[in-house]
Amino acid sequence: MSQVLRAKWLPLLAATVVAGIVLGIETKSFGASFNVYVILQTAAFDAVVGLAQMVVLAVGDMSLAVGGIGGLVTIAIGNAVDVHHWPVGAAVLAGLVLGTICGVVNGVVIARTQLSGFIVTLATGSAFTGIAYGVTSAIPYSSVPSSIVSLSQGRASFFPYLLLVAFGATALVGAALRWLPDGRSVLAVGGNRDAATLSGLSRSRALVVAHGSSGLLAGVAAVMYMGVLQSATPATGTDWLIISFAVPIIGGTALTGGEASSVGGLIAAVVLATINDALIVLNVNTNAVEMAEGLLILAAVLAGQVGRLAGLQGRAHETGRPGSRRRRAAGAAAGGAGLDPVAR
Amino acid sequence: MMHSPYEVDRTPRRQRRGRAIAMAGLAGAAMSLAGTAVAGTSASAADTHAAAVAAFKPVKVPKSKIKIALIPGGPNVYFAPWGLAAQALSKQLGVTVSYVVPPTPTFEPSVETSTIDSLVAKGYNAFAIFPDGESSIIPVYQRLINRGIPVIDLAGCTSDPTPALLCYATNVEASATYETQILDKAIGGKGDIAFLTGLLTDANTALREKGVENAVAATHGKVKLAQVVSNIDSPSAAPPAVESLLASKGAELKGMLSTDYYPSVAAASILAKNKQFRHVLFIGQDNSPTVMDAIKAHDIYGTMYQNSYGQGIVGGTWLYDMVAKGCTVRANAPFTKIPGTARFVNSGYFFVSQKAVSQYIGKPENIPSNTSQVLAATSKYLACP
Repeated sequence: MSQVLRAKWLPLLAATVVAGIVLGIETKSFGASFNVYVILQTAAFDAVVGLAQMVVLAVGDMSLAVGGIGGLVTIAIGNAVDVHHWPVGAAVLAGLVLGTICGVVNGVVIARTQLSGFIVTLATGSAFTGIAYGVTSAIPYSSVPSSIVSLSQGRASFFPYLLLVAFGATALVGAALRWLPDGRSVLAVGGNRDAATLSGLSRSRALVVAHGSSGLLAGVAAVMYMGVLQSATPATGTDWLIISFAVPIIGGTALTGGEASSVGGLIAAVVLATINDALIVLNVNTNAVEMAEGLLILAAVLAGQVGRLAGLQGRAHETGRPGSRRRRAAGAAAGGAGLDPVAR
Repeated sequence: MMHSPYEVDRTPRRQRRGRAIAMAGLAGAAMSLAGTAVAGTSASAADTHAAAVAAFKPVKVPKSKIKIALIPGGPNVYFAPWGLAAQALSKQLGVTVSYVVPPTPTFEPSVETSTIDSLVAKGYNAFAIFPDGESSIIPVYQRLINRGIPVIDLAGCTSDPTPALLCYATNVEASATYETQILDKAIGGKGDIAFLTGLLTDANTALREKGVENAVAATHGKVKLAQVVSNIDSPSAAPPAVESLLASKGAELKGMLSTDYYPSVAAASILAKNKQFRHVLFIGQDNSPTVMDAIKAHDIYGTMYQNSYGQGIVGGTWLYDMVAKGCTVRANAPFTKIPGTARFVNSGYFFVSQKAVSQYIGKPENIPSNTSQVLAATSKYLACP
């Protein structure tokens, strides 16, 4: 309970719930079952795209290839089903393996060359997108299996089935960062690269694990998107970049690494989806949408800081101190509990 | 040492002098018209510009060396039929006609201009281009024209005084008006409608919105444009926006229309899955399989077809006439004047209904009657020696 009260995302969640109640009272349609479904479905997409970036941010790196991998996986699955008539399960599995391989390639190149992930993933992301467009000549595959469409658009009242995927991915990533040795290494390396190395942790392995996981999650997001449009388009992922950073950072993941919050990301995704939905429900002037969206996101970020400013999140604040990074790295090396505050 | 592809000009001196005179005219017209919108230009200024364009003499190229490039804004399904058109023209004319896609999914002007530069260096001598960004593309056009290389706008227009010799594209404003009129009629002439469209930064979006507003205004209040949702022409932006719109206004809306690809695909897919919004009649844009299947299943009302294949055919053919035969653009050609340019030729549009959809499924966007009519009228647009 005390951990929940200290969570950075708690004020964000509270602000969203209050805003939702106000909007629900003001506009009847906002609280309608279908509208809640729309918000949660969008949040499910955004949360998984955000997780794909979060695992890389956790290791102190970044990936500009999340969208490119998403596009390539989309095309691979579309091609396997549409052209080669693979069973849907085999096609999706192959796509997810491909996404993981793309991520692993990023990690290996970054680890071997010691180049910045920014540079490497800028190049590989562009290459992945190029392959997707080259293979298809920009023409989408249209034979998306009905099972994927049912998953992407299915719902039980206001609850989209996709949210189960997002919950699952959030729980798995959170658990992996907290309890798996490789997950703890990712955070330790992200928190203090030198201390982690001195403690015997492999930065290369952490990079490969983080980027490989990112590729897998980008693949999952790609499958989720395919069903909504009922087509596998190479344009998938071209506009994921901003959302991939916005979700984890608003959710409390540190841009500098060593600190990640998968639950915070999920909450942030709900916040962003609510903002996007509210702008349409309230029929905000098209020319004012961009400005309103920016201001609301800023307000959401500030809401996320309220708890910290009020001194409610002592331990979270503590993780920003250099000393705490060393402790985390040492704790990770010893397999101890030093990472508790950073993997939420 | 790096050389600009425009640096060396080995054409005969007489041709260069002729072009220089033409360019002086073009430059003069451009300077006199700079900063002035077409809508506000006087007839004489437009005439001066037209005369300057007509004075442009393309460099004649031996058939074996003719290389024509059709350049879209970036990889996009809309332009895919240009590739088929390039193949057909290569075979028909016996020259190189290439469909070259700038590697920029986001339609970056700098990538498009560097693609053009590379093609000039490779010896391409005629260009039909979808302009990504007016301010950056116009200097490139000017450099090409200065070398005697003909350039036309295809599928999207630069504004006068542009060096582009003409613009062959969909009349997006008229198309949006027509689409709205069909929707108005379909909903019984009264009720609320919503409009889904693309980037606000795209000049065509404003024209489309104007077209919709014109049609709505003509109903004298019987049809109301209840909401415009823009900036949603991408795979991830369109579905939630369409769903949010239906969630908030689905009960009141009687109709919905889109002038862009992804909102059309998203709306078709969502309406097919959510029968509670069946009363909302939707007209989409273009021919994605999702849209065509939804029309066939009577989940949506219809779609607007454009003529992207015909754009490639007409654009490539006219460029061939210019470089192979030395044809020039007539000053008194029967161009249409639209906001932005007075040298516009409409590539056509038409509505595909539920009844007619079967005959269009699986075929490239194409309006053969418009293409053949425009090609038959070539002599009205081009003066050939």
